[in-house]
Amino acid sequence: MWQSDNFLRPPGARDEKEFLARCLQCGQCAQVCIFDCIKMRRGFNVFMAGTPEINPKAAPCHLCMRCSEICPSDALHDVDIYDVRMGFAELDQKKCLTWTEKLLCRTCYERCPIKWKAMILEAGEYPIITRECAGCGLCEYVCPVDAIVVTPTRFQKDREVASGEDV
Amino acid sequence: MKKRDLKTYRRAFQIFVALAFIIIPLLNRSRYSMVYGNFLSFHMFGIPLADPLAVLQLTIKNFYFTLDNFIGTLLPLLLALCLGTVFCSWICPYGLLSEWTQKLKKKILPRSYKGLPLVMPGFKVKVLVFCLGFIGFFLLSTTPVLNQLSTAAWYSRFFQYYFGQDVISLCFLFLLGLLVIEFIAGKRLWCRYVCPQSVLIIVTKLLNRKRLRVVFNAEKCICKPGYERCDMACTLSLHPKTLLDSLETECSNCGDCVLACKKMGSALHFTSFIRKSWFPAPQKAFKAFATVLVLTMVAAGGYVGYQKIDWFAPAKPDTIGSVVLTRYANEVYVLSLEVPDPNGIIKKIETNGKHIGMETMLTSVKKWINSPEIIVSEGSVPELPFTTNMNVIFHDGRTEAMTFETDTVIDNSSEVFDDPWF
Repeated sequence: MWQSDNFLRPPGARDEKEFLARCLQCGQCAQVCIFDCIKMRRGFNVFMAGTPEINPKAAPCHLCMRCSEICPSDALHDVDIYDVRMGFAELDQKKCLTWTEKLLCRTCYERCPIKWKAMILEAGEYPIITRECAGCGLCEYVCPVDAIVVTPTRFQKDREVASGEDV
Repeated sequence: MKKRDLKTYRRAFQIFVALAFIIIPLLNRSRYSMVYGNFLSFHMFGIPLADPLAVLQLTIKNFYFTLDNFIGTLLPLLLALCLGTVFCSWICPYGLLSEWTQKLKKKILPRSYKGLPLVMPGFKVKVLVFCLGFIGFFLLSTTPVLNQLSTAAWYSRFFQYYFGQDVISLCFLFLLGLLVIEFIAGKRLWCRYVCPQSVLIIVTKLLNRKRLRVVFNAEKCICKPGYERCDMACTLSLHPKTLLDSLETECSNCGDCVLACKKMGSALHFTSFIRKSWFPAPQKAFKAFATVLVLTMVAAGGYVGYQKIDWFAPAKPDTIGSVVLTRYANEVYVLSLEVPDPNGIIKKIETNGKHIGMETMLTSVKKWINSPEIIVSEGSVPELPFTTNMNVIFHDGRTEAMTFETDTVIDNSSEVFDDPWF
């Protein structure tokens, strides 16, 4: 019954507090998801049970935007694919096959739904994730060496503060 | 055969709803998405339906509601306004389970077992629970937590979890526990004393004084005191003969007492604002015509639905693809392979042949429509016709060879080919 807390919300989700205030827990987004990536959260937490989650390691979002289209209470609002901010993917250049020059691998780049915006190839070879990243988790799913990790948007403030201290 | 009366129709409809919420997640799983949702919010061919309490919670916390939700709450509230709380007796699957538990209790336990004596009027307790829940909701959270008390929603959610993500949710223990408690108590405790979802529809029902309700005509009553048929029949263990205001608020208009009384003098009957004269008795020919029409529509709808649903979706390989040769500017000839794979059964596609030194391999293709593009020729026209050989490798290990013959060129020389791979 263990489940990770590091899940993503479906595309178009409002920020976590407002999302929880609006989500009816009806599971319609999970039922229309053709990629079976949206799951209803389980467990005994009465505030969270039944709300949608996406675990990119198990099944990533393909940004088809069906869920935000049908959400009856507007917890997922209908946004453009370029405005989706589910999370932010980070690429570990020490693990990446291309960056470590072991192999010419473009798996993540080829799978990215908004390539050339969210993911660019430096010098035509080395993948770089830009601020445009929607955080759908497709790259995390396909990466053969687990070099990419998606941080959900609700944890992002901590992450930015932490990285700011490093700089 | 037993005569078809109101109770037969009621039970049939209850079972239909209960089964529908088992079948809907199954349909959604096979990608049929005209009907989806659970008892909190539901969509049926574009018509929204919603739980009034859930929407109220959202509205109070956000000072905002969506049109979808607003329309969705109208229908249940309108139903309650006209016909009383028929949701509880005709639709709610927990009501069905609870009624069956009471039936079982009557069959198994001896008659002398009376269960819990109940003196408190149920509606007051219900309102108290409702208010406490609402205060808790206001203080504690912004999420609509009272949704978690909806037994109907948990019933439908169990099947959403089970068919949607292959998880046996532990919520069935909650439902089972409630049913066991009700079995021991011998009364429908949850429906009468707790269920916060019913409070709103009861309040709506009270707004309409001319609603459908059960009335008692004392002159006709012939039962001996203490052996009233209506008392035994009542699904909520109310006393239909003495339906005072406090008890009448709880009555869910199931009509069982009216049926029981029909055999004993018809002292109880429904009142209604609907007059019988509005609905003249239909002619025989019209009846037959309507039956045929309904049957045809059901058959046609069923056939269309059957065509739409891919029952054996994962098992059926669909590898009919297409190959298109396009000519771009600068004499670049590009071959596009398209293999539809909506169910994610293709592992990879390999092409090899006479094309300019490129082998396409798509690894870990998952639910993706593959359209790799191959530059066939640069600078010179390829010899036509030529064949393309593809090996489609499925996740279950099978390999299928496909051959496509290309003999026409689609002219697209106004565009420069933008290679998405480099």
